[in-house]
Amino acid sequence: MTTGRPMLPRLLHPLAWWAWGVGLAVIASRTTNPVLLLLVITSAVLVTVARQELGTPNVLRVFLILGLFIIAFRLVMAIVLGAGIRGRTVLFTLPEVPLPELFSTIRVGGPVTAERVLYAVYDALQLTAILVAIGAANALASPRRVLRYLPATLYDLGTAAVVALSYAPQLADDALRVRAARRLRGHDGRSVREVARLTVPVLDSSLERSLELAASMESRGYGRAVHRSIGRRRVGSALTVVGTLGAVIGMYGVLVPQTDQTAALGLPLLLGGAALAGAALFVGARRDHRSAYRRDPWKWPESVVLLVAVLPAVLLVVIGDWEGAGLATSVQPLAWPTVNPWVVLVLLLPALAAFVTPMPPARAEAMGAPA
Amino acid sequence: MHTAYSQRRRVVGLLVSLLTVAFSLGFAAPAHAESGYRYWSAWAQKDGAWAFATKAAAQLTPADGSVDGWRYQVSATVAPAPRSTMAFDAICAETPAADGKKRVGLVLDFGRAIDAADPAAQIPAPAAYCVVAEPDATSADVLALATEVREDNGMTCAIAGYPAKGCGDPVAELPAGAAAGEEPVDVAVLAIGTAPGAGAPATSSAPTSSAAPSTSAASAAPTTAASSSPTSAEKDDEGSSFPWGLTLALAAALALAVAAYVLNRRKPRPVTPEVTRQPKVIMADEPTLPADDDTTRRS
Repeated sequence: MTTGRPMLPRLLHPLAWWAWGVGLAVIASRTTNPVLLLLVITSAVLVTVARQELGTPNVLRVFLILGLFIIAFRLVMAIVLGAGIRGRTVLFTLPEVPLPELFSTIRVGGPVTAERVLYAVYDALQLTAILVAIGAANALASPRRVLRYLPATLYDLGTAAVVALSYAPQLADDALRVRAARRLRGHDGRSVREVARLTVPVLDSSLERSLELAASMESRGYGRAVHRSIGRRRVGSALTVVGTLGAVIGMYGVLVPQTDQTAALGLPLLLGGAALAGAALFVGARRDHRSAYRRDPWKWPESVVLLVAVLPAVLLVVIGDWEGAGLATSVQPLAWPTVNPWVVLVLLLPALAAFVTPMPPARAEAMGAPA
Repeated sequence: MHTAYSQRRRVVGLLVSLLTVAFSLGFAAPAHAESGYRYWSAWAQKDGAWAFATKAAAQLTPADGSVDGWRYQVSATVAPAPRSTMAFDAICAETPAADGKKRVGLVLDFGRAIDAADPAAQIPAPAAYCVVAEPDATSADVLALATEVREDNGMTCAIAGYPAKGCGDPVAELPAGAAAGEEPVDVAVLAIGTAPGAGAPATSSAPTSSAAPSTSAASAAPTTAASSSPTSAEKDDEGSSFPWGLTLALAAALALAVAAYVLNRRKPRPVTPEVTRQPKVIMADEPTLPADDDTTRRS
């Protein structure tokens, strides 16, 4: 852990990477232009490849494969099921399966139009881009490192999250171990009966190990019970509940189309709710002192990483409705996606995070050491 | 003394009251103004009068000799019908029947000045088309055959390019006179491929002067037939301007992908320590091996 120059090899503050990933996801969610989404995906992949620490599992590949699967699935659904978009450019026609009158809104088979296929692909591509952005943040800064920065009031959540995050890998681990043990005893580890016999010991042992992890975290101070007065604790809880409720309702108000009734529900309530929830955290944390052991520093590379993702996201939100931005690709009538060169330049900003950040330490060592 | 039970009751009571306040804030409809929507509604002619279409246009199959209608209007609950009940015989008088196909009449009413969202927009004159279609064509197919349709997620947003923007947008307050009685209009019967003629501009008239030019046939079309040709369903390019944005974006994506690939190739693999290998078990029929260290052998 270096306190020297910011660009010496070190791990970036995890919240910086997560803010970058969330900003990228927001960018992806504001547009269905396939070219812009492709830019987002390639930026995320580039930055991950450039700055991922050696030895961390390659999570991004899982998200990429998941994204491809999503696109393929939506494509098949759009081809087979006929409801929704109708187009005029028929690509080919599948034999139609006659359904009873009850299901008259569903159509299986029939003519497959380019409009419908393209709409499904654009939609699926948007979801893939969001997943890849979050996957990149996941690969660059493991969620366990982020948990250290959870506010003290939420230590219950933090412990639960760590247990949940470690449950699945340990499940896989235990499954392999139990299966090897059964094979050593002469059973064939593959039949259906075997799987049924595997389930209970595997679930049991992985749950036990997760609880051990939680206990060890608590003994290290993650789950310390703070002796606050009853009144302060109640105020904290009430603020949390009201704040979260307000934020959720406000989010609903912002996302639905604005009419008379929802105008009051929108941004004001969202901001008010978020402020209240923040106040709750502050109230709770004031008497809980945590030691600052090996804190990640927040230097200028972190701020730059935050800005290069948040600025384009804010820009896209602001110019969302403007026609010239080319954020929405019209499928009916069919047209090539229009792309604004300035928007392209702005969307290249997140890729800068690969170059303005310090190299992770193990990777710098491996690269610096003579081969 | 505060027992646990009474504490819980207090918290629950607080939560419930908060929830009621929040929901009543949101859903108490303001009583002063009525809001509505501005959209295209689909109609079917039955016995000389218009009946609101019971299902979505994509699920209704009009019979040979029937008339479909579309009306653009602003309304809250009850939508006004197209302002002319032209019979099938009048619309399809000049289109002969074709073997194995059906003829369906189509009436498009683009609305009054008061229905328009944009005060400066030119509202096209009402038009009627006689569409010759496959026997299993749905109402949506019939509409698409006659003129250009813009849809968004299954909902018909614009017909023949009107309105230029928007799709079933909500309206905060219905304009005065929106629900007033309407006068019937003359409808021009057009050949397929001709755009509807220019009607009265939205700003000029009082609500009752819905007099559209009642000319007939193709002479009413100021625009060329090619612009609304139903066969031009290809991806249309933007004329002669070079797509700078598209090229730039694709080039940038390619550059990023290549950079990612190159960096991946150059990434150092993690150095694993040498694992001590098990000594090889020498079977009886194998030739005896020289007594070397196993770790120096590369098999």
